Amino acid sequence: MMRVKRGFTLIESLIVMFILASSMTAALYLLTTVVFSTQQNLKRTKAVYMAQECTELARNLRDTAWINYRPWDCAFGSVNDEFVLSPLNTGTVNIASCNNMPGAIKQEVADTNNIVIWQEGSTLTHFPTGGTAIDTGYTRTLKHVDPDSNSDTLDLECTVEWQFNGRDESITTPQTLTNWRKN
Amino acid sequence: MKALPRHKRLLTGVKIKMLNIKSLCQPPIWKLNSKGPKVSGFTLIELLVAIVIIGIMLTLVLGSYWTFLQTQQKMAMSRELQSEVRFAFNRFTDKVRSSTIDYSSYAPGQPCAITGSNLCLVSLDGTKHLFAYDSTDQVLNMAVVPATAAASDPILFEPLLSPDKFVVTGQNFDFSPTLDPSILANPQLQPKVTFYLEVSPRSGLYQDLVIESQTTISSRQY
Repeated sequence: MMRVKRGFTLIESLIVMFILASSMTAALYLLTTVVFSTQQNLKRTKAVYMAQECTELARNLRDTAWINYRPWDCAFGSVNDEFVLSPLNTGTVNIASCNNMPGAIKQEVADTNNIVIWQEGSTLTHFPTGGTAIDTGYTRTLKHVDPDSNSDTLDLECTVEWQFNGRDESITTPQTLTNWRKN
Repeated sequence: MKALPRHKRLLTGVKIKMLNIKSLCQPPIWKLNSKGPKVSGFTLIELLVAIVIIGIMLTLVLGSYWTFLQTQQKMAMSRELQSEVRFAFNRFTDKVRSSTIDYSSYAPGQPCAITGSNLCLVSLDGTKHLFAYDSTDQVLNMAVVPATAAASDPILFEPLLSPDKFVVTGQNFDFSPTLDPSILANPQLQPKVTFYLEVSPRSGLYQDLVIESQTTISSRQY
């Protein structure tokens, strides 16, 4: 009688299943990465605009000092000073040298000891109702860097930090302000 | 069988061959061996069990695949929202940087005095830029009014974000100082504007998607 060989051996089918499974896992990983990166981008976009807000506020402080004939960098403290611009934290800046410069950053509270409680104009990503701050999950810090002692330039760094899927993420925006008005 | 007499036949000239049923029920020749016919296949119960198992697996796979498709669509909508928000913010940034706050338009009877949440800017050459929020349609509009336009000319507003696809559920323009600093009696501050925006899809499945963002721009006009 003829010996008829039909069908697949067990090992062949196991190998086929293995190959199929690994290729589909690779495809699935690609597709889930897209989903994650979209969500990550959303948080990052918000953080970028917050960092932009931080640098613009710093610039605004310099400009306001010019308008008021104060020393142009009086609002930024000394080297390595950090100011936290978040709704739940307020940074303090000693403006004795700013000599009572009127509310540069929508000053919410002014202490009698000549110290401005530096609070940004509105809470992050949410305008306050009745002035209550909310925790948005982002923290923002403005740091006076300035390694060289050129008295007409000022290096600042604005860092926004947040958490995504349990991991810490941050962006840092450097900025250089110059005293081109020679005030 | 004996043949019927000719006069009793229904059809003549037709030979009917009796079928050998036994030959039909036998397996084909190549499945026969000396020990008897061997027919391999699946029993009914085996087939039923296999179908049930395949059904269960398909349910799981298709379920997760369908969820995956939904997530992809939601992410696509989220990406569209993000790019619209970026566009709106870039527009806002450009306008504020190149102009300053138009305090005269906030007086009673002027464009910014009538509407609720709005922003009136003016550049050095006198061109006015207006942002106005329509709360009934939930659309953020923008207009550019050249310096040569008369006060009675109608202002042409255009939506900033595609109104058929997106709805602006919240916005706020907050500027400082609130009084014109060109008048020396008022607080002397460099103008800056804070913009807060909330955008959602207008229709469709993902109306719970919302993007809220805020930025502040300081004017570059001195």
